[in-house]
Amino acid sequence: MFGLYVHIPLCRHICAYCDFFKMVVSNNYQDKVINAICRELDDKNHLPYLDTVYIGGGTPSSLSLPNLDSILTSINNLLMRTNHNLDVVEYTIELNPEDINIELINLLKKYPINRLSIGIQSFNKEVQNILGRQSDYELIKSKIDLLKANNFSNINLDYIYSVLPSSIYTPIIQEKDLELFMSLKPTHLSCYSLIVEEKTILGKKASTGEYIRPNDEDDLNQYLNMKKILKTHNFHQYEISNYTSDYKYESKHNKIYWHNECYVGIGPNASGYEIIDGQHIRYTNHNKINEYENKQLLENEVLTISDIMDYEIILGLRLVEGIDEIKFYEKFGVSVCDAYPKIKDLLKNEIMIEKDNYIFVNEKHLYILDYILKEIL
Amino acid sequence: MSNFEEMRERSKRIRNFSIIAHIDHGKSTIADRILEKTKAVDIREMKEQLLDSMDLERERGITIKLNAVELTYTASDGIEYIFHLIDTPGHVDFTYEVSRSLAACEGAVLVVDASQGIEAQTLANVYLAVDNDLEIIPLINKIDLPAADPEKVKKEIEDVIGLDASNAVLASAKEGIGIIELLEEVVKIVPAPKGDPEAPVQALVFDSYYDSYRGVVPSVRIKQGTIRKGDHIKMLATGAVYEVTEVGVNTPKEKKRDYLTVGDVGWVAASIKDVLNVRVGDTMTTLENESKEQLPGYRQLNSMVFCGIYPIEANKYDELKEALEKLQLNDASLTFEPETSQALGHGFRCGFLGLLHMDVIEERIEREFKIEIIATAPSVDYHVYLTNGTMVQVDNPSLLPDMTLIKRIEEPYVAATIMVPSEFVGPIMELCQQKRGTFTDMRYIDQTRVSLHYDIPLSEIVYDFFDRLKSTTKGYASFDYELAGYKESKLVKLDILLNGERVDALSIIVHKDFAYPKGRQLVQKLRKLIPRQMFEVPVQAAISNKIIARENIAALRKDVLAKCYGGDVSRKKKLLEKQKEGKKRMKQVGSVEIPQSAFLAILEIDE
Repeated sequence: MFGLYVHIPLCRHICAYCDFFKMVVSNNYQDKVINAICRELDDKNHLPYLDTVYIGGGTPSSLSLPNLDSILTSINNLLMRTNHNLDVVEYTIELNPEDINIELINLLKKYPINRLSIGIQSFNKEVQNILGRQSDYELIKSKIDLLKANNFSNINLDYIYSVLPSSIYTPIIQEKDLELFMSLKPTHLSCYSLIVEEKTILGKKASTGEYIRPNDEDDLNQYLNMKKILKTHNFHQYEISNYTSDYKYESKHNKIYWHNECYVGIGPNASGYEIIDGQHIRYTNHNKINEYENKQLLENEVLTISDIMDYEIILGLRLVEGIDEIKFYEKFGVSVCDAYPKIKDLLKNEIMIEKDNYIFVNEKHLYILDYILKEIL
Repeated sequence: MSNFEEMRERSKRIRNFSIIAHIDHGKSTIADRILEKTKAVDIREMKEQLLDSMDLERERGITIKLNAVELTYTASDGIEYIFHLIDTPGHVDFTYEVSRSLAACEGAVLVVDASQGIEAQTLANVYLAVDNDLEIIPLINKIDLPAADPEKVKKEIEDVIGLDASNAVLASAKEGIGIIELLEEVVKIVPAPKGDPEAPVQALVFDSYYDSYRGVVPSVRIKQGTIRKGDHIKMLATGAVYEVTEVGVNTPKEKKRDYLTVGDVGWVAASIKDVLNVRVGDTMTTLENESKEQLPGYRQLNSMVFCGIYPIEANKYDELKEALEKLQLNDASLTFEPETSQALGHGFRCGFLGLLHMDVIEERIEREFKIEIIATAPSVDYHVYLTNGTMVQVDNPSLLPDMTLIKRIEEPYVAATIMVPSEFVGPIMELCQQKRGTFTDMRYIDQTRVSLHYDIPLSEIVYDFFDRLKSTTKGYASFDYELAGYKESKLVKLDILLNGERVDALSIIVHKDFAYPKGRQLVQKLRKLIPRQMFEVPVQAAISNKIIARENIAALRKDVLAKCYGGDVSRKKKLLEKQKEGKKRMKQVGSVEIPQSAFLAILEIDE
């Protein structure tokens, strides 16, 4: 599998918690950025067959319709060059609920987009206040109904928990919140424990004590409560932060990342992983627009075999199903346990489990994956 | 100049002296000023506080190694005198070294801060000087400071030490005041060395240092006789014999000489490989003119404080061994032997003269040799009398025999002198009581200051006594101690179990009456110091298999990155690698990871 990721680093409004690379949209600037992204797309040759496309950000839906149209056209042209048709297994675009209207939908319908990802985060007012977002349930419901009426039915919703302590965001309040999500009948949920990054509005508030993070106890309890509630809707966890009711709705594009497969990154500050002249390279485009236009990179990491193996472990163990041991052996000529002998200890005390040629983290301990990774690597 | 008459003439012009002072009272500055006035050092070349050459010394404001310099001074009588200024270490751990360097002198300058007065450490060293029959020149320093009260300090010197202070030199080393007066006093008061250059050779070894080309180089003071290049020297205590390749003095630059004779303070290079053959306090003689008689005062130094030192990375064991060997070349008072801990693997049980000595060695291993180490809590040397009538010495608590085999245990006590402003007498007494001290005496130095005397088990001092003393008295107390022999105590071994397994490196020996609270405090402290693990980990304290305290380290709640998509991948790996670096500083004991700090938890218990 090989994916295309297009990063639109523009937003209409900066959320308090977001540390993605983004800028507030202004018209001239938007045109400059979009032209540059289109140029990068148009210049891409010799890419392999693209199985998936993902347009993320930032907020792709914050673009003016002509600009969005340009991007989507450039992607279509690229697909014609690589795939010789417009059939893509999964083609996702991220939308902000406020941006959804019939004009946008009509534009999207012109392209082979078959999956939408909508950032809601929470319907709880107190949580919304902290995150700096407003999402009115009735309004969102009407927008999603509109999408569904236009045959966009494969929809992911983003949910964020661990914003407030459990004394405020109680299990009952959390359940109400999640029930509102489920009432919108998504096919997929991405559920994130809030990460307070230093260089965000929230990070600054946290450093002054204006905002206080819930403790790890609350975080865990909200996580467990969430899993319980989602289970009643037949949503199961397939990756640390991702849930769906059906295997076919698991994000194929994101699984390219977790399977340690290649993808091309387009746009300022976008990352990619490609094999170029036999070398495995993880790179990140420059985040300053002028440097980006000159095709400068921010990072360029040539991987050794052991780096690649490390990534295989770091990413693969995020999946509930874990790592395919046969594929691992075929790829590296060594078994997972021989390459990472510490895993044997973890298997012994059931932190990890080996079953049907898959090796994975015991679901009970998935929540301390980083700790486990530090043991293994 | 090789005839003995000239040597005798020359020795009349020699003055050998030391400076005695409390930390911060200005010893180094005075030494610097003396060097300036005697033109020993080009002022431009002069680093601040030249005699203290090790970085660590300068940072801690202490002198660890002794140094001696030869200076010339033309006095007001027109005669050129030869001064040997012998530096002394300024800390309680090195009392014996101080006494030997004082024994190399005929006089001492007693430096007292004009506003702070006499401190316990100064007092101890003055007594050492008096014991060695030295002439003492009182110098009151920092007289330029607004709080200076020279008259009060003079009275204190007279009352506390019993010295006539009427002719005390009033000085400000910083301003260069009083230095010439001091040098004139040295000429007048300090006697010239006695001794015959033709007599059988007796030279006092008061220090040594290691030079990678010449081996161990002893610093000596010639009491009688003459040592020449080519002579065969013999160390009387150890019997070792070497051929002298070079002799010389420091000015402070090294200067070779043809011989060293009566009154000279210099160095003797003789390709000595083993530092243990060059003991401070030993007498050096020559086979060419051998003396059978040893100079008085020699004593083999015994380590007072012990701890286990282990490399964090097991493969650094050999490097650690090499580091200890190198440190020992310059410091014969450091002892070490291999030991193995179940928890920490292979390492060394090291012996030190005291706590500062231990700190300095540990820091030098990490800083100069770049080896990350784990040090266990310090212990003392217990005398354990067994029911079968034998006695074993135990300096590692985990090796204490089973209680059923023990008849009694004796532990080392020290006689402690604490000088403190009188308002702190109450809190100090309370502290000493808590530390199982026995009150012996209390004396008023003046209306505001008191000297308190206690007998205290050394083991109590090695834990947190200094820090407690400092915090109790806002830093106003000064403290000195000397070993006062062994006494029987009701002692038990307190074991710590992590996840049900005994961690030998965490065992301590404590007084029976304090075992329960100590055990409780220790497990509470460990609960805080040991990070959460994948499982809940019980921390228990036990005496002879009986659990007396328990705490649980809760299982890790959360350690996962919520989002990991295309743009997060590289960052994620870097973060993990960085965090893994941090984990390296922890020691895996069974299934539990323990940070370095946990092994010193006992030192941080707040009572």
